[in-house]
Amino acid sequence: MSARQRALEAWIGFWDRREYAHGLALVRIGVGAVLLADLLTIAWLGLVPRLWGPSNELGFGPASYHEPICWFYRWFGASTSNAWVLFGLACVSAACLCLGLFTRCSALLFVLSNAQLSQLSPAADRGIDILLRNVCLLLACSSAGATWSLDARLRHGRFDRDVQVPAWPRYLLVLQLAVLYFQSGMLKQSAQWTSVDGYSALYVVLHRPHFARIALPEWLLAAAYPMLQLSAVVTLIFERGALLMPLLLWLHATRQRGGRWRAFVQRSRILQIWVCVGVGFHLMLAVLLVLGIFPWGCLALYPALAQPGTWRSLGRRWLTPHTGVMAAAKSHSGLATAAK
Amino acid sequence: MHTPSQPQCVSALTSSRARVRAALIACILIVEGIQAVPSKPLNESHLTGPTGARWVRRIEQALAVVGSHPTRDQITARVIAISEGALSVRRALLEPTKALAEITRTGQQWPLFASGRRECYRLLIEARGADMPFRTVYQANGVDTDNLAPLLEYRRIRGSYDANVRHGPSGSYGALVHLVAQRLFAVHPELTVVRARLERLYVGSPGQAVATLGFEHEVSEAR
Repeated sequence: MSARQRALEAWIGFWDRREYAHGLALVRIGVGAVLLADLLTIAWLGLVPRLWGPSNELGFGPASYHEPICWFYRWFGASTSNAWVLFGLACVSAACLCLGLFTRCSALLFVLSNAQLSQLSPAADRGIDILLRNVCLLLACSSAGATWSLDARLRHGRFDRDVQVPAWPRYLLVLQLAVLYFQSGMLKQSAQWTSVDGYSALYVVLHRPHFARIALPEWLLAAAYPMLQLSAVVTLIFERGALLMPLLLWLHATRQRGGRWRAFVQRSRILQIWVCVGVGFHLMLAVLLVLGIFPWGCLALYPALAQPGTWRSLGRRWLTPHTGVMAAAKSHSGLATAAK
Repeated sequence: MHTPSQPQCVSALTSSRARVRAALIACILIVEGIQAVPSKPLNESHLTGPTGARWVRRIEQALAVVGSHPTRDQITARVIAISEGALSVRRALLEPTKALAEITRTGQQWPLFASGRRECYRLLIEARGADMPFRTVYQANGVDTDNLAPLLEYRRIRGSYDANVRHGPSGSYGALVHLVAQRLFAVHPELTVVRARLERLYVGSPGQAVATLGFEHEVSEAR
């Protein structure tokens, strides 16, 4: 077999791998919950007609009776009631995705309905919306509903199943995260993100009234300036280093094969450090800045970084009647009964 | 031997389905890779700014090592031409998948917090009754007398007024002011005018107070 053929077979074999579905299931649950929370916030704020209705009625966006913009309005007419229908479809599909009910169809329906909403209000469509549509499209092609889902319960009689599913959607999710961070890191070329302006970007961002969660006093920000500079540098290293993350994951996953690089990855715990920095980075963003679902939407993808077997074991530990949360609940209810 | 937690290869060599899948994934990776190429070309302002100028200097030094000595203007022009060329190649390569990207509104452009400019705006909403002075009802990250913060700070709404100092607020800024005015008029019958303004701010060095550079983009709504 020639080297070319061997490479080809290795490529085919790599994308044909199978693994437990728990990692993908967690991503599905997290992404669905984040999307649903965002949509319900819109309804609570009374913004559905404003964001997506035609401009002849209450809408902010470019759609009108004469220029429907998206195919849903073209087919069914541009009206506020149809904006509600489209919104309803997005809500139902996000909820079904989270619960794992008709998982593939739900994910696809969400992508299509959310894409229509995005066309109706391009200014309201942010990076995180595009990211989560990408992810939902991937989930629509995956077996994310094979476990911890209503689909599993309805078809096989139990929520938690030990089924092995194609691993490639999880690999692509990892690549998606790597591209997201790497490009974001490389595009941070303004003076404030470089030594030209002393890595002052985070200090400046915390002064921006539209983004800072609370107006921190100047003396505090001045005192924290060196820490903010360091955080800006760490952010750049974390984001630009994301390109190596898939390689690190592979070296970690194949650690039994041995070798210098694998030993280094194991010894230095570089992968675990990278993941901890990522989680800390998003949690800090959520605490200090008003960014809506961005930190939560990104964190919802992090379960894809762990081996699905890990999630399976953790799930077993928490959910089995003898050892986990259910056991604690049972013993608690037992105590309550005894007390009565 | 595979343990249950490790991925397993299932007859990769024989499965034609696996071959088709691997080919499709290769295509997807290529398309997504092309989509990740920046969709906007570099221009002169990018390369004459402090960071851009540094890149040009680095290119100049690198070329000098191999014996080439173009001027900085020549390097700038060449980099811009390469960037524009790459963009047209990107556009041509993505043409076959354009329809799919439009239907699903997916992509790979992630300029997240790329800019950390020191100049920014602060939204200020004021209202007054007949023959009364304006009073502040909302100031971003400050005053909020009428619980407008949940609406105005919602991420999809912020895009309407969180203006880039170069380009100003988006087209829906006026419609947002109209919505806010309607809500205020409904709650306060005594109000006759609501106005929104963007206060231009400059964030200085640590320890310096944020400087006000005046108010811009004023929009008023009368009852």
